[in-house]
Amino acid sequence: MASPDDGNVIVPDSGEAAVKVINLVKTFDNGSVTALDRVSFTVPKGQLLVIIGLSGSGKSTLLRHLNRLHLPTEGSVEVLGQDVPALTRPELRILRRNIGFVFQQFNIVGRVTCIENVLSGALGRIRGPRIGAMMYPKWLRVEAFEQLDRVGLADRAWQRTDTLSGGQQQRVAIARSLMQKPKIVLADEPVASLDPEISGQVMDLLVQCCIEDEITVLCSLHQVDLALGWAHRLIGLRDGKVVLDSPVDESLDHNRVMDVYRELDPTGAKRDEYVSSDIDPIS
Amino acid sequence: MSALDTSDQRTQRNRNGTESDFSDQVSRPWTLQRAQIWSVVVLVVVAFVWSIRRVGLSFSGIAEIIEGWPATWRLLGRMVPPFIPSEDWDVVTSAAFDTFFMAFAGTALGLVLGIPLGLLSARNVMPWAPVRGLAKLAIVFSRAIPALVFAIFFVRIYGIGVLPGVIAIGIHSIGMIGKLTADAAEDIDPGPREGVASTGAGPMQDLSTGVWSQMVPTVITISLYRLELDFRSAPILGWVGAGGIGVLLRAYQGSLRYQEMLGVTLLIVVLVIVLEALSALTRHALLGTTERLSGKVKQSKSNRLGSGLASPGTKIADWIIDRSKQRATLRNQLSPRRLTPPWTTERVKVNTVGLIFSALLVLSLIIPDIGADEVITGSGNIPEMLRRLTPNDWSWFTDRIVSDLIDTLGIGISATGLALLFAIPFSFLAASNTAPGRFVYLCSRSFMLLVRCAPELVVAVIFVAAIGPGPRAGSLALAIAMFGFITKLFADAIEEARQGIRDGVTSTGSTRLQESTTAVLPQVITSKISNSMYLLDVAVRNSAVVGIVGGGGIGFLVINASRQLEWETLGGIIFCIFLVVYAIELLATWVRRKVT
Ligand SMILES: Nc1ncnc2c1ncn2[C@@H]1O[C@H](COP(=O)(O)OP(=O)(O)O)[C@@H](O)[C@H]1O
Ligand SMILES: [Mg+2]
Repeated sequence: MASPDDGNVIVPDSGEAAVKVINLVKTFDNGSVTALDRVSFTVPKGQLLVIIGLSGSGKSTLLRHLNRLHLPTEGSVEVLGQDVPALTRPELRILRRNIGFVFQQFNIVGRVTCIENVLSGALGRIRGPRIGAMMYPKWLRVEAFEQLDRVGLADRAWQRTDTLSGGQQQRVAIARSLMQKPKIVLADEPVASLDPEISGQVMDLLVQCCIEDEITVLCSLHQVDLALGWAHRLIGLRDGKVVLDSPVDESLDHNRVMDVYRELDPTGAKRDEYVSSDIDPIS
Repeated sequence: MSALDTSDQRTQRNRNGTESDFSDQVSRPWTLQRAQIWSVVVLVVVAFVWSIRRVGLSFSGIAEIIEGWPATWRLLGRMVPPFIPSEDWDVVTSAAFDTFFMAFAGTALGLVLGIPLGLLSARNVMPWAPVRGLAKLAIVFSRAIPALVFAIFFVRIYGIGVLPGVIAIGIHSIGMIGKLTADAAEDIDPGPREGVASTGAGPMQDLSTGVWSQMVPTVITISLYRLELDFRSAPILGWVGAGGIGVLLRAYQGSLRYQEMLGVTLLIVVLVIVLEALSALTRHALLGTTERLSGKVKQSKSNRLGSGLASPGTKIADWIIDRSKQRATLRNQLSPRRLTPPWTTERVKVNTVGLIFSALLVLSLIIPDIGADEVITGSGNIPEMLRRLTPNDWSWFTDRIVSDLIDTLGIGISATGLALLFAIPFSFLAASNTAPGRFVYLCSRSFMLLVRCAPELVVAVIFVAAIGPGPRAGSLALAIAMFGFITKLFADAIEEARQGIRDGVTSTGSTRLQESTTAVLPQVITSKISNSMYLLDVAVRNSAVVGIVGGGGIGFLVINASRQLEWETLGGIIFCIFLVVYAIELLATWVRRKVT
């Protein structure tokens, strides 16, 4: 496990695996679209892994399998030692509680206060529905404030979330994930809808918080240079296949990284984010 | 609309190409969609002509009506000046209060029952299709049966008084509230829900944090909108014994005191305007201007329906708000670590509104004097009543029912048609961007406001008094009420038409009329058709009840069967009304989907 105070540990390979994916295949629309093609990799605990690849290469689909927002067509997905597709609903709830998910579209509720969005990260720990921040116990509100403080937004706690800027909204979303006290954070292009300056700041914040809390991070990113700054390891996807899997050190050739982005499929229209129709919500 | 796009492109091409190349293309090809649209148009015209004949308004007879006007005027003349005798003021005030609280409690009941039903019928909330189907059935039924019919039924169960009115309003409100709630739920952004699901939330938590928190503004809009509608329908319920101001209306009509009748009617109109202004103010306090005007809120399915029919009170409320400038919120002076929400003006407003509404709810249970034992003994009879209402055979089904149902359809269609005939030109006068002058605009708008605030059935009462009972009175009364609604919808649509396109047409040197037909009409036509279909739907619902106050159609048989305690007949007729209204609703929905 990576020790939080030792910045020199680059690729921690000790300890058990946080995520283990074997021969994962995912097809959509009755097999006409292959989003993931026999993907296999293992992520040890504490690793900061970045997944790169063109739009439509399967990054989102891959991450969404890890907390069962998608079910695999074939292959196995093991997270924190549990066979994800086989989990019962209560078990899935417990697993999801341990996995924070940061979305490109933030996926926070715009019209409620920031603190309420952060508090919703604690839903997995408490029972029963909540409407309004005041329905959460006081100790959770204190905790939510601490998380908001970490992302630098404590003074905005009672402000409506949609009155914040994009970068601030994503920081609220990060605070919500941290509120879960997760062991793993999955971040799906967390800064793709932010401008470059803010992107750097938000990524720094996310990584810093995760290192402090000893959280394993799987993050998909477009900006390779952003990734090279702090990632332990890079995985490159192209058309649903793993085409690069390398630790980030001197041996990593910049050209090999850029190769992931080259060889453009001339017909491959860039596709935007899907609002999936086959998510597997708990309800 | 795609059909319009293609026609634009075609004109473009014609202008560029030489004529011979395109001579075979200058008329628009017949596509399936175009054929459908035209057959619907023909059908609509035929239906309109037929309906006018059916209700006894024959086109040649329009002259006859004009000739008959002196007689009508004389009758109307007996209504002016309206007044309410001072010795009746006590009764009138207490009846007005009863009506208010009846509507209020009824809406509350409708919300309590309708919102859960709506959620149960939303596809993304309730995964089990059978449950959704049942919930939808209840919603459709309660929407199709007018409140007045429910009132007749519940007066038989609970006896004369406010209680049956409350329940009738509540049960009828379930339908609309349920439907709009379901639409709102299906409209929500799935993203935040995924976010909530990813934290490991359970189904109820998903519902509250992922779904409900996104729906709150829409639900507030729906509730206030329903409250406004119930304020309009409540005054007439007294006609069948359900308490409130309608009792007085009936009494005055019975004793031919027409001036008092008009006096009470005007009082109702004033009350409706005031209440709608209050409701608009409430909406402002809760949602603020930004939220109401933001594109996102306007786009949602449920709001499209609501926003079209925005209350006349809104303008007044806007004016009041303009005058009292809002104070800046406190949010920037907070100490960062408060564990309770700060008292911003928004929170103060929301809490005040909440308090007022809770107080009103308590009052509405106290003031109209509804006893718990009354509720309990009455409700015990419901199963027995329902059993009696269920027909065992077809003996209740007479030719009279068929012919009255057809009359009902005739009233609905002719009323919508007549209203449209007058509304289409008039709406251009009532839209600020097409009206010939500020004065005309203001006059038209205030005229519309007045017309719209008179509840349909109250207008029908006046018309029956003025030109005698029968489908003619019902049709004309409904036409006037519909005219108010339609003109408002159309005028608003015209005001939303894009100025740029109009400039484009004007710069070709067109006249004002050409500009209206070429630049404005194509932009608003789809929303016009869609709104007209919605209004046909409303008109047919209402035409089923104008008969209760003497306006022709099936309503007479309803009240008759209830008076003579012919339960099976009543049940059978209610079922027939349901079928007809539901069929029209399906048709209206189909056409609306075709044109948009
Ligand atoms: N819900 C879905 N239905 C159908 N196809 C999908 C769906 N989600 C993703 N895909 C397809 O899967 C492929 C990978 O998509 P995605 O994982 O979103 O890529 P990325 O996140 O790398 O941009 C794309 O070709 C996309 O068309
Ligand atoms: Mg993606």
